[in-house]
Amino acid sequence: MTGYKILFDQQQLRQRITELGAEISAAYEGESVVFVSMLKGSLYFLADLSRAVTIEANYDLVAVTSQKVRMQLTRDITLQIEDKHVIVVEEIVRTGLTTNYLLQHLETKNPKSLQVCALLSSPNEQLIDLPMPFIGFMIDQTRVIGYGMDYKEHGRTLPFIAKLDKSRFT
Amino acid sequence: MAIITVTRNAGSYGDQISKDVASRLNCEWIDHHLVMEKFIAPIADEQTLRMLQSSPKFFLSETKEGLSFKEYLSGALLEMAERQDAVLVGFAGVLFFQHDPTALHVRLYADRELRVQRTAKIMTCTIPQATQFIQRKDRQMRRFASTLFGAQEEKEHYHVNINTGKVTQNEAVETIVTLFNEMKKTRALETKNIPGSELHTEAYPLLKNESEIEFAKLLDHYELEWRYEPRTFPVEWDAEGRVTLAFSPDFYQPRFDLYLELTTMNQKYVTLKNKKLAKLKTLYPGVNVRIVYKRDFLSMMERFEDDL
Repeated sequence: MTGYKILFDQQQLRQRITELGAEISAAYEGESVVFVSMLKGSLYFLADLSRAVTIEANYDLVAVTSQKVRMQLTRDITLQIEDKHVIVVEEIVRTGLTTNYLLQHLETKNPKSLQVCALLSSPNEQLIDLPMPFIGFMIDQTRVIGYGMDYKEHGRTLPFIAKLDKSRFT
Repeated sequence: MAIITVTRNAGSYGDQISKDVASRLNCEWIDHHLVMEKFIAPIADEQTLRMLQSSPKFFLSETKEGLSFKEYLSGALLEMAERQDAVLVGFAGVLFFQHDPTALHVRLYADRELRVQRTAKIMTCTIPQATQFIQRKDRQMRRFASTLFGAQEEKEHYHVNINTGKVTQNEAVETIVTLFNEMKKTRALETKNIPGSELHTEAYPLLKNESEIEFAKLLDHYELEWRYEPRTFPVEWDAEGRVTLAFSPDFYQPRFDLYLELTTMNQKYVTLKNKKLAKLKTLYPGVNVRIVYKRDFLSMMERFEDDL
């Protein structure tokens, strides 16, 4: 675990996620939400965020494979989300294309509302607008690993978010 | 609303394919029998109906309304097309709707020998009987079109000619449904007018360079619908009012009403592009354009490749 340039340590993550939980709880006071996340990168964030809210909540997961030509959904949600408040939980939003892919898919299930909560957001890279009222931290184009995020499956289980150093894994 | 007309020779699986298309698009499937039942039966007695069924020349005779049956039917079909999507099979639909820009015209055909074999199997008859049947049906088709319109259904009338001996039924259905849906989206784009800009409705120009091709693939990968350079925005004019500078942003995203302009060129060209963009934002304030700079594009593609 040594030698990483840490951008957000465990305490910073814990504090910000607690705040996000409070923001979401306030925004949806008296309601319930369903968190939907895409495996695997957002798993830690989903686990911590869903426990940081004080409103009634549930969660579900989707999985995709990234084929050369098209993304392909390999696991869909099993919960019924029709007429429910849904929050897509993302560990990081850069271009927004992956998040939009998920949003397009979830829209077909007629949720009552559909918003995004991103732990990290890189607004300068974002190509498209997303309904993303909940953002943990803003970042630039620096590539990161840790807290679920990987580089070719390396670094996912790091408890902090660090700058990616590719030479470490080659 | 829009119509898909399907011309099919007997034995080309036209009825099944067109029914599947109608089912996929959740719209009505209308064949000869339904046309007679829906539109003609209400205005014709039984004897007239029998005459119309026996020979197409009776479609040129007058109804009680003073129009010919052909004219009456033409009006009724066009009115239906304004209210709903439908798949119209046979009945020289391509000629009834030849001037309707929203209609999609499909011809389903197959090699004659194959059609005979298929017909013999379906009708459980001999090859000579199937051959006779096919010949009679083909003759009836030609006669109907030439009697009512003084013309034949030609290959050039159709948006797409599908040889059902070369593709599966599912492939034929998918082709028709996809094309119909794409045409509808293009029409939706055309109705969104931006004063001063020029809309390109003919075939779009080819993507200009490798970066644009890669970017288009990236958008396809994420199933984000796009159109390439669908509009040109004049941004500078000379004293005579001639356009001296125009901007055709690259990738239009209908979902976001947003243009993404890719730039992977040297700094001096980026400066010109920024100038065009600034002028466009002033002249066309409702138009959303975002520039994707070279560094961002390369970073995006690198991450994309890493994730595969």
